[in-house]
Order: sequence, then structure tokens, then C-alpha cells
Amino acid sequence: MPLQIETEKEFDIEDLKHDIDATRKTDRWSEAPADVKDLFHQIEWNIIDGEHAETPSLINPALEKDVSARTLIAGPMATGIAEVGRRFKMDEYFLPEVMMSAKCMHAALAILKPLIIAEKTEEIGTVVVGTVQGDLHDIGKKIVAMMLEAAGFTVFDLGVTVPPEDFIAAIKEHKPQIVGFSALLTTTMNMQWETIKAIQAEGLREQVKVFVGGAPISQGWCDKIGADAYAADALIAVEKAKACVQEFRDLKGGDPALHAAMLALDAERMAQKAAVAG
Amino acid sequence: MAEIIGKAIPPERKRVIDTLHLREPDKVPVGLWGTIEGYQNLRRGLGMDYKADARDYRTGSTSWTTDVAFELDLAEKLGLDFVRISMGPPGGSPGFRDIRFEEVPFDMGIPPPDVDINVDEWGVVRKWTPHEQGGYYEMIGYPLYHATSAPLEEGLKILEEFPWPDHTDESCWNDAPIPGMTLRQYCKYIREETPFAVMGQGGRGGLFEQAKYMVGYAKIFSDFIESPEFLDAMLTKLTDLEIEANKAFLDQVGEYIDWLRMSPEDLASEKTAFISLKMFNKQLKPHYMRAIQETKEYYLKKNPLGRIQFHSCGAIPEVFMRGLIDCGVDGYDSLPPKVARHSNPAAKKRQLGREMFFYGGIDVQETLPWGKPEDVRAEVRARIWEMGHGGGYLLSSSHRLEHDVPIENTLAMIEEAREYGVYPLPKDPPPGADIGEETEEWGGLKKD
Repeated sequence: MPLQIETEKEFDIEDLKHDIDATRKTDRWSEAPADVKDLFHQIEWNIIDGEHAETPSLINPALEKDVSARTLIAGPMATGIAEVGRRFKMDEYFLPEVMMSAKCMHAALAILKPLIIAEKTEEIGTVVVGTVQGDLHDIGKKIVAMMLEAAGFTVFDLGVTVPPEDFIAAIKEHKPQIVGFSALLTTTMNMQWETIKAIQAEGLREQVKVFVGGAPISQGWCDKIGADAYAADALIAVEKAKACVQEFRDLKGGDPALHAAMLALDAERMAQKAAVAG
Repeated sequence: MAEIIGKAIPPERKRVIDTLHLREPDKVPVGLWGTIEGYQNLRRGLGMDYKADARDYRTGSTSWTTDVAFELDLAEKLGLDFVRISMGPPGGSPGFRDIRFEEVPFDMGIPPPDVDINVDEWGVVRKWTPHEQGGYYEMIGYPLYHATSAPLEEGLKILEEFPWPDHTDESCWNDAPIPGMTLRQYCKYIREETPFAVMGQGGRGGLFEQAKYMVGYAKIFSDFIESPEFLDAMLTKLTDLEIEANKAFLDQVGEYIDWLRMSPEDLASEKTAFISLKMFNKQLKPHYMRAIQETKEYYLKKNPLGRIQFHSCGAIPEVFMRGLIDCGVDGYDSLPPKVARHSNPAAKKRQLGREMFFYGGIDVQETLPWGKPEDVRAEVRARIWEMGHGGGYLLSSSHRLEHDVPIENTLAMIEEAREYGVYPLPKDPPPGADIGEETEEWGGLKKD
């Protein structure tokens, strides 16, 4: 029998419409200087339109205006590719359009990666990341890997469609404190669970803190499969990863206290947001 | 024609013909298709002799496929109504021919893998990928990958000079599941000596499907936007070849096949169509139109009652199927019942049941491999009730029966179809049947 896992509820199109309408009403880049603001809009739409030949001609001027690589990734690039994802889910975009947008992201990341890596200062830990077996999604995991590297981690990116045994081999070889599984499909997210089980069976679960992420992944899913942390985006992943190797370095993988600590970080962030919002 | 009118048609074949023509037959017709391993298991389970080496079986029309023609003794034993036939690969069956990596006639840009390599008649390179029982060929090298990335002029020149397979090669016809017979003799034998109807699997490779194999999945989708001229030229060539293959096939067996299945064309993922309706209409449909129209015209001269069936996997939206009907398609498979919102077979029947027949529908993704026989029976009842009213439903697995389908489930499927699938069908729905009357709205339509 296959695994019978209740996956998260089907994507609710009405909710999405609401979300996107709400974001369109706000001027996302209102605090940026006018010249940069235009560029941000252009980068966002360049990714949505998939004009990858022009991507460098927008990324480079932004860098010349002293916008950091990190801001570009977390800002217009993230909102652009999120809109592509929304259009794909709503049958407005299909594989050809998504391929074009992915090419934009790769073109931009090719320029930004050396800059992000150059920011690296101290050595704070080791992370193994990969997209689980059967899943070919690459971009999100690449961004997380890049941000972790910039934050001072040594990152081993195992690539896409990584079988559990490869994760296990990498844990044995590189002795990371953290291992991260990416999955972008409801049909492949089960492999996150399978991979955790395989790590457990190998007796390695306590040695590593397990992070999960990807579009269909949620905190609920993380709780259910016994992962230590869920990261909704690359910045949260970095924040939680740092906490894991610093503040909570003595807690073992799979420890409920670690899980609670990770949840507390989310709560803290929410509280800060609420305070800012006023 | 005289033959069709002059001779009493056996009930098995009659119920298939009625079904193809959207009339209620006496019973829902049943047939099987499967991989070689699934077929071996079935024969072993039934206590029938079988060839232990998969490579000894006669395969379909391409040299890499693991499709197998189900032999007549099995069809007889299981009481099936129809069987499939196809031409063999150029060079004859069995099609599997492994070669050394160094012999691959073009640069694949990959290091030599440590497994057997197979190059098919199109130049597509595959590696043998084993699973728990047997295995399959997975693509690793695409002969036109470089052509589609090259400047247009150069790409078109490569297309022009490409060594395309010869669909008229005699070796495609000179063998059949019964040793010593040609394909034509075999079909004649089925018609004259057995009660079975025959589905002819036409073509070899197909249009969009073969295009994917020629340039690779990663490339084909960006080609719709970045290399439309090259894509169009390649599809034009593949359409010529599909028509040529179908005509050659029909010359051999046209009058003996009750319906023709075009080369399978996967147009959809498990979620929705691969490409937008706009792209489908502009970049694919004209080629389908030509391939199907020319094939159909030729076929109907051989068999005026002939019907054309089209295959796509995945969740294909209704509006795409309407486009296929415009092209001349009469029937459709397969109907994977559990993939996504666009692929609900019952909805398809409500939307298109007056215009086309359907084939398949019993789930191979969960129910057949992993369910219990009673789950299979429940699904068979539901599907027959949903699809069978008014005729137009040929019951079969929603894709090939593979090695993981237990024989009890296959037998339960056939047995339940025989018990429940008797016309007139019950008025009241069985538990689990989809009785909805609302057709689904497809989001993509609004945009195109």
C-alpha cells in the first residue's frame, strides 16, 4: 500500500484572487527612492513577462544604484516569481511561460550569486539542501542555499530529485547541523516524510535538524511529518538556521523543545510585524 | 464493405462497433492493454505459458516501447471483446537493440552511463532503468537538441538532412503475435476465425509527442516561445511522417481494423494542459488537423465504418478536446480518473458524450495496483454507470496494466464489467458514482 497522507487542502482560487487584489492596491516599493522604485517594478514585470534576455540590463543598473543583491532577491524577484506561480496555479500561465520566467530568475541569480557569496564573513555551520526525489524544482532551493551561504554557512546543494540515500550519504560525509528538503508539488511532498523516515532508520535523526520548505509546505505539514522547522521564505530559513547553530545548538534534531523554539521565532516575528503595523 | 454486410458479425465485435458509433450495445465492451511485465504476470497467474525474457516479445511500433500485443489465447480465456495490433518497428521485432555509447550517432553532451543504451529509429537515446520487476527505457539523449538551439537557417538544414525513420520498411509488417504470419494475415485471421474486434495502433512516435523526444522536455516548452519557426518546421515534418506511417499501416490492415488509434500525444500534465489554448490552437492544432483529416480520409476508403481515437494522458480540459473533435477525432483515451479537476471521466461524458466515444477509465494509479478487488469492482460499477449510458464506452484500464497490478484485480475488473455492464444499464447510480450535472468551468478559457 502507498502512504496514505492527507495533503493540505486544495489551493483556493478565491483566496488567491483576494490576496493578489490586496497586494495590487498597495504600492510595494513606496519607501524606495523614485529611480529605484521604477527599476523594481521593471524587474518584477521582466520576470512575469519572461523577457530573460533583458534581465541583466535591469539587474545591473539596480546594483549600480547600490541596491543590495539580497534586497533584489527578497523584493522584486520574489514578488515577480510569486505572481508567475499564481498565474500557473490559475491556468493563466502554462509550462512555456513558466520556463521563460525561470530563465529570468537564473539570469538574475547568475549575476547576484557572486555578490551574495562575497558577503560571507564568518563560518557558522554546515547545511545540506536538496529537492526531494521526483521533484525537479530548483530555483527556490537555490535561493535558500545562496542566502544561507551568505549568512556564513557552508552549504552542500545536492541538486534536484535527490533520493533519501543521497541525503543520508551527504549527512555522513559532511556532518551538517541542518538538512533542508525542498518540495514544490503535492505529489512529491510525501518524499520529505519518506526522507525523514529514512534518516531516522539510519540512526541519524538526532544529529541533524530538519528544515522543510516549498510552495505546498506549511507549518502543519512540518508538524505532521516530524520536521524541526518550516521556513516560508529564504529569509526565515536563514533566521531559523542561525538560531539552530547558535542559540539552540545543544538541542538535538527531533527534540520537541527545538520544534517549540522554532515556532516561537515565528511568533516573535508576527508580534514584531503587528507592532510595526501599529 | 460487402464483407461487413454479408457476414454475421459476432456479438463481441458487434458490441464494439455499436459502442464506437454511440449506440447502446448488449454489453459494455472490455479490453486490456499493458506492459510486457504486466502481461507476463497475467499469463503466469492464469497458468498460461509465457516468455520469461521480456525482450522476446513482439513490441509496438517503436523499438523502445514496453507495450505488448495481448495474444489471442489470453483474450479468449478472459472473454475480451477486442484486441490491439500495431505495426512493428523498422527492422522488425523484437525492437530492443542495445548499442554501445560510442556508437550513438551524435553528441549527447553527457558522460557515458554505466548501463545499457538504446537508440530508437528516430535517434532518441534511452537508458535501461530497472524497477522491481523488469524495467523501462528512460530518455537521456535528444537528436535535435542542438538543432533547436542553433540559428534558424542551420536548424532547418539539420531538419532537412535528418535521417528520419522509414515507415514503409517491409519489416514493419512481416511479423505478428502468431509466428509465421504477416501482420495482414494475422488481422485477416482475427476477422475470419475469431470473434474479436481490432483496434489498430497507428503511427509511430506522433507529432507533439515525438517533437518532445527529439529536442527534450526542457527545450520543447521554451521552443513554443523562442523557436516557433523551428518548432513549426519540425511538426510539419513529423505530421508528414505520421500520415505516411498511417497510410502504410492502413494499406496493410485498413479493412480489418474496426478503429484506428492515432499516435499517442500527451497534451496535459496531471494538473492541466501543458500549453495554453491560444498556443494549442495556433501552434499544434493545424498539424493535428492535417494528420487526422488525411489519415481519416484514407482509412474510410478502406473501412467506411472506421473510427479515429486520440490519446492524451493527464488532465486535459474540455475545450482542448473540442478542438480535437474539430480535427476529426471520434473517440478519446485515456481517462485517468484520479488526477485533477479537468480529468473527471463523468464530467467528460456529460460534456462530450454525444460527440465522442471513450476508452479506459479504470484507475491504474491507485485502485488497480493497490486497491482490493472490491474497490476495483466498486470503481467499475461507478464508471460504467457514468460513462455507459447511450453507449460510447469501452472499458479498460486508464493506462497500461503494469507489473504492480495483482491478477485478482484485473480479473475483478473484467468480471464486474461483465456482471454490471449489461444494457439497459441501471437507472439509479451505484455508490460512488458522479451524478453531478454541472460542467466545470476552466479558468484558462477566460484568458485566451
